[in-house]
Amino acid sequence: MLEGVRSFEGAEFMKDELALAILLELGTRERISFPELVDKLPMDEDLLKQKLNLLEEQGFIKQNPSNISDKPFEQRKYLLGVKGILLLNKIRHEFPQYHTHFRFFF
Amino acid sequence: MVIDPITLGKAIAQRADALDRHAEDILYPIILGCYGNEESENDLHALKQSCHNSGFTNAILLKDIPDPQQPQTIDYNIKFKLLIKEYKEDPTKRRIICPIIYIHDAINKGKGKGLISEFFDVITYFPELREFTVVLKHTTIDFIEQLNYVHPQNVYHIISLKEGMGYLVPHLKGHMGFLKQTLWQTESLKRKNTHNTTNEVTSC
Repeated sequence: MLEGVRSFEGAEFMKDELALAILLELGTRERISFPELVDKLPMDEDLLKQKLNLLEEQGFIKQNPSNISDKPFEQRKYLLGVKGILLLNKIRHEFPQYHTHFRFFF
Repeated sequence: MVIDPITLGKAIAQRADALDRHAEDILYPIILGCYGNEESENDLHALKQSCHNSGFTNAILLKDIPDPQQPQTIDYNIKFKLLIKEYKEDPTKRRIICPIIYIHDAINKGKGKGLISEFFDVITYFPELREFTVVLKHTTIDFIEQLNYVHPQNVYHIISLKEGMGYLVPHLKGHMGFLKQTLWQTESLKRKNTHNTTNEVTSC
């Protein structure tokens, strides 16, 4: 009866492995700077910027202290938004087999 | 074995169907209480975990949400109000916000009573929350005037955290019939209505 209900908040990102990887990394600490993300995530830097912008536009992540679109990436710090926290909570619940690999701060 | 975030992201993305929306995902329990008191905070965390274990993964503590204004900090009652506004600002999602107020007897020592009262004031500001507010109060706590404004059947008098958990999860599950009905009705009407005028049905 409930088949076809696929409107969970993170639906558009569920199949985007890089966006998920960024969210998983951001879930490990309250604040992470862009240079730290570059070190932690072995992916093309332009692609990382593109995914960060996408996640920010959709409200999954925020900048600290505030969203400034023209701030140089090298000076930015990111943190999870409420939508990001809820999606990671859902992931933690639905993928218990990876329990030991989740290092979320919440 | 350590799995890097990209490999983990890939593994999750490949099984993304596991993240499909369930009826439990419509409920947004916000766990409130004496933040700042270690014993109370441990209990709040346990309540959140209890909700998660029962599938209510949207249960959240205010403490979980990083403060974007740091180094300045936001008071918890303001954070609660901002969180409700953030939930309500997205009209495309059907959400039922459930404030869960856990009142630990630490308030008798002067810790957190004011904060609890402020949480009640925020709930009064959003009257639609009253229906879904749940209060778990230790039997030994001092009088809090605003408790009179909550539905009496949603107030549980408890002597231990375990007893509180025993009330909370069945209370949330008590909404399931109506939540499933809501999901079914929405999808059913969407399929039948080819003119895409279901906004008035789906928005909350």
